[in-house]
Amino acid sequence: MGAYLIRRVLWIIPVLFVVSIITFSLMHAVPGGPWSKEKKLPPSVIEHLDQKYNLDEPVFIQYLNWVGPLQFDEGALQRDEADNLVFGGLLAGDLGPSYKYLDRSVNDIVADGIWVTVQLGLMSFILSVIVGIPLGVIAALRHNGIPDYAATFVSIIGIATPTFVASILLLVVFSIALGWFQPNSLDWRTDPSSWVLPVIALSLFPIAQIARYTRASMLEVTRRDYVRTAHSKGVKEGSVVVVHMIRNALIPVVTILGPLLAFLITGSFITEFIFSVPGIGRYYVTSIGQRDYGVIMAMTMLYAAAIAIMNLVVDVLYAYIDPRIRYS
Amino acid sequence: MWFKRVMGAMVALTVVLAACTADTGTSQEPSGSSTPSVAPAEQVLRVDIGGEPPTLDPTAATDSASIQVLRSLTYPLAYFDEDLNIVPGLAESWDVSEDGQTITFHLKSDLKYSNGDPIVAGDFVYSWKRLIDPRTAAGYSYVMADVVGGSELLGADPEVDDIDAMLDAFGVSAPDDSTFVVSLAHAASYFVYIATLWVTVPLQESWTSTEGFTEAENYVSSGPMKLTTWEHNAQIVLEANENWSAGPAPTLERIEMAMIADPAASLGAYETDDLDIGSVPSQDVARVQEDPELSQEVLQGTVLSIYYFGFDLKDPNGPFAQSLNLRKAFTEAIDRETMITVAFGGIGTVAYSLVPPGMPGYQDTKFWEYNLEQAQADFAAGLSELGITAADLHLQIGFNADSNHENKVEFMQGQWSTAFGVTVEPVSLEWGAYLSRLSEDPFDIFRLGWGADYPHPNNFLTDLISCSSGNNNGGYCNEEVDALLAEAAVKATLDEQVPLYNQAQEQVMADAPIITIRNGARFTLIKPWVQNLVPTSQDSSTGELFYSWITIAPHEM
Repeated sequence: MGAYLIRRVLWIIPVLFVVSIITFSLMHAVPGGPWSKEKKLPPSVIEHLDQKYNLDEPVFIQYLNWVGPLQFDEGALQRDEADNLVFGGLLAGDLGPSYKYLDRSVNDIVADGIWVTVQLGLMSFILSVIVGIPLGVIAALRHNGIPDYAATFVSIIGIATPTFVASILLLVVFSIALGWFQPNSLDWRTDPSSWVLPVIALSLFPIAQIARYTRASMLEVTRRDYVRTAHSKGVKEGSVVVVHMIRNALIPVVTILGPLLAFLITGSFITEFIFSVPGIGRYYVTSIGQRDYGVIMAMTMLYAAAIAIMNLVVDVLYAYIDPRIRYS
Repeated sequence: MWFKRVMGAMVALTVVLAACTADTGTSQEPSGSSTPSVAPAEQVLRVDIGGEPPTLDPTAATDSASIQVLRSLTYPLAYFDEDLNIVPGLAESWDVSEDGQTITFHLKSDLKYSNGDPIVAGDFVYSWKRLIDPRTAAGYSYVMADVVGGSELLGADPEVDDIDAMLDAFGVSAPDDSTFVVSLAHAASYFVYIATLWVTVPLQESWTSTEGFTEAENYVSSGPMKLTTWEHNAQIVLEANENWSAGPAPTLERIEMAMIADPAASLGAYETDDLDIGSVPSQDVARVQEDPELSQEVLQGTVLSIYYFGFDLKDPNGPFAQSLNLRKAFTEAIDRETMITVAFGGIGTVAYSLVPPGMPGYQDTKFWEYNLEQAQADFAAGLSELGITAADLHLQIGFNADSNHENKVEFMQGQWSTAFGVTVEPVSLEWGAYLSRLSEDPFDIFRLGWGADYPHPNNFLTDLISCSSGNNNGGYCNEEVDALLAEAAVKATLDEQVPLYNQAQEQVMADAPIITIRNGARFTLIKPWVQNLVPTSQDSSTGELFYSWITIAPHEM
């Protein structure tokens, strides 16, 4: 198990490396740049900007700069003698300058927003699990009964409603019409009510998804021999459900929980956009439109790393849930 | 049976929804609407700036959110009055030398920054050099092009040229603490407008060289307000700057600036009284106009901007480059009155010329009115000129995606198709890709807009349509026009300039290089308790030039 873990962790490195190369080349291949504006900057100004931000180098060199020479500077923006920006690079923990937020480094931007986003994601994740799994279990136990139809109804609504529709609906109903919540909370640190609507909006789809997976998986194990055996041995119904059924039914569910958690804690563009959440999720989309190369790379790498780590966690969890799975 | 099942599902759904919301019901704050009370109002203005401003460094700012904040945090040499006439700002007065090449600004006495330090003429020298310094790479550095040494610095390469020496030769100086002298390479009558821009405000070198100088704890303001909070991506709070003496003291104690990215959520915040000034997304205009309460709060007005479509004249073999008649035909075939009603929700007025109403030099002349018969005649003349038939025309109209331009483009396509039986193919691109396509190889017809940096016709003619302008995407170039513009630039007074700018505009319009569609219009919501708001046609956010002198009347909350 130990050797397996080390191998898996080491594998994450080439994965991230490939992701970074692909993203870096794709984003530079897209026409336009961070200085494209409706009111055009004169060519000489663009030249100066490119020089200052080292965008006048070939993309290959820019990539190497981004990965960074191993110099362990502080993350802040630094300048060389010609006043061009110097940054340590990824390996030194320095994600470089933002091309849109000129006063700030990508490190600042990520550090500012990431905890809000992670908190929002964790809350949504917990809500999704504690609502989604019981919903699926109850639906399966009362298969073709009213609870089943009710749960299926809920999860179809959850799956079929895009997040932006759900978010806007929640905003219109509970903030604007009923006035229960501020449409733009200014104090996320001290005002717990700020979180309610975004957490619900972000959880609707995962709840539905988890409920459907749990239901399908529970229905499958219901027909298994060991469940029938347990019933025929006279094991109590509750015990059959908890020990024999849920534990086995959760294996496929855990598979989706990993990537789901990775998705939730790295932020959702739509939810953060609509509820003015000061997180990092909105940068997924805005940074691309702005060609804010540093932020695009940071967001992609964060998401890739989160996915890779969560997949690893899921694989490890399998071994605990299902003793038949052994890694070597 | 079926009915019972569905009902069961509905009941279950209701229960689940109730469960989801039950815990939320308790955490709400008591909404004050049930206990009306009229207390003396706090002098606080709450506005939305639509997102995190990219920078609060005055030298670097180029976008509307940053400028909206900077207009209250900084103050330039010259400012505007309510009608956009130039009035003294930090400068008490200025003299222009006889040859028009030297402007001497005399600063008001006892000016102070928010940190208590005096504002001295040397701070302008530093600020202006910082702006033109190629190592700063400021987006608006080109406004310094007319100053002695300015165009050389714009073209300089910091890795080759001796920038410090070039900056020493740059034509700004401070003979004493209250006198700031600008030497121009040539007379430029509009230059005093440059001295109203947020990029030309005074800056302390000791401040801008501080690490993180734009953060609230370090910010040094030269304007009526000072920065007290900048919570990134959440809000900015400005408070009255008690050290400010360049004009009447601000009446507001505080300006709270929210950063609501979603326009619908921003309107929602206005409707729940969380904002005092609200902007209306185009899809909500009709609802607001019909709403008995909201419709009372609408403020409309003109904006110095223009929505236009340009013709590709860069490609010498393109049909529009070759035939003036075709350009005329495509312009005359558009019924712009109807277009405003249909495609712009009736907001705004038809632009019949480049220089918009409200700007000096505006001409109330309808260049190219809608005339279907004339359009068809011109179209036929154009085709025979080129020796082609309508079927040989393969035209594309380009626009940027995701910004509500589809219906405008469709309208124009429809008009051309009716008039000439020609199908113009629409092509939309993502914004960045669209802009880069325009500078390299524009579409036959392309959409763009232009807003005023300063209220002077130079900004709508020279900066947009002269041969050397980088914003002249279509590549229109007429030496006669350029000569008129150069002549106008050196005239001392607006009265002498306007006839020349008019002549230039008449020539441009006769050449029909672009189809002017619509003059900008504002459609803003203002709470009834917001008083002394001064909107100008120069604002990109309503009232931003004079935020500090708004007063808030007592009202129920």
